[in-house]
Amino acid sequence: MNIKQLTLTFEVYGSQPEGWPIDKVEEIYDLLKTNSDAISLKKEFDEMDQTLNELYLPNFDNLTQQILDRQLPQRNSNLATDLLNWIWPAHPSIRLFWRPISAAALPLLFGVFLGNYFSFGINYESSDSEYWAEELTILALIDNYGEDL
Amino acid sequence: MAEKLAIVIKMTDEELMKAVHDGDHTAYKTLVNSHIKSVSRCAYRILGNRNDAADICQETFLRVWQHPEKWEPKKSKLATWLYKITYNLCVDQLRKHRKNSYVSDPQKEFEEILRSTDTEEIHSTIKHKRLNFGLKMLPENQRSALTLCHYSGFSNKEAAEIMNVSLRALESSLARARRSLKKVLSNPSEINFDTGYPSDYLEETSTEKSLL
Repeated sequence: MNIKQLTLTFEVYGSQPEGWPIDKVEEIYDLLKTNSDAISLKKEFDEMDQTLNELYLPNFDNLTQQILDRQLPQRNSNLATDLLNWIWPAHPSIRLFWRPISAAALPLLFGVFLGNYFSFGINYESSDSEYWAEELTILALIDNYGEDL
Repeated sequence: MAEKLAIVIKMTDEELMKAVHDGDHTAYKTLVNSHIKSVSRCAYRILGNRNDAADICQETFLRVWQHPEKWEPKKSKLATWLYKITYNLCVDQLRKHRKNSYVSDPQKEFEEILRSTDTEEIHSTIKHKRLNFGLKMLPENQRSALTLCHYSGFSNKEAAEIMNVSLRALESSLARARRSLKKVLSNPSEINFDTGYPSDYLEETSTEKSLL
């Protein structure tokens, strides 16, 4: 590492070791041990950080009370929203699993709906069971039914 | 009430936000108390004005109350989400007033800062005044990057997430901000008052390109 690279490291990560990238820490310390320019550069950045920390900050003591005293608005709520929230809970921890489940169940529900309304060419009427009464009458009229067996 | 407060204080961020979502005022109070200091300081550093920062804080917590479901714990920490709201509101505020940097006349401002005897400035040394001026002169993205990383203690990656920029862009802003401030601190005569920035501020150095 050279001085230019060290300068840029300080500019990007600051002059405090805890901010430096792990793979650069050793190189930085090596440079700081041997190079006087590096030492003075670190001093300059340390001084800047220190001055930044000392800059004026206004007092926000009353702000907490102002925020808490403020009348909180009612969340937009009506029957439809409540119903929707009940069916599809919006809270992050719940929607994490509820929404994928709902999404996965949609094709199934759609299939049930389609199957209920359309036959898709499958003729259920071919089933003999719907004509059982007629068949029974015919069987009764055949005298020799079962004799050949 | 005291029992309830004790329970709320022990809650994790997720439990706390679930309680806020359910309309629990004690949970909301705990949330405000835990984060007001950091949020207000961040807003002040970005905006440079106490009243504006206070308004932004009020709006931030109001939004949390109205839309707690927007926080996604798997995606970001609660603090990161709060800072994101604050940052976006600050940027909107600055854009609304059409001021990227909030100094309209840098030369006049600099002279006033050096002469200043305001209560807020009275204990400041020339060094502090110079740096305060430099901070005010930084473009919004650089000032925000420095605020989030230096003052709020976020990592570069987290700050990039809050500002919704790439890590590279964030690090470039940080480098430029610190470079400018260092120049303001060491040699204020290098400040170009036409632009408000140190004279070589706009130069993209080849070193930065190759090393970042």
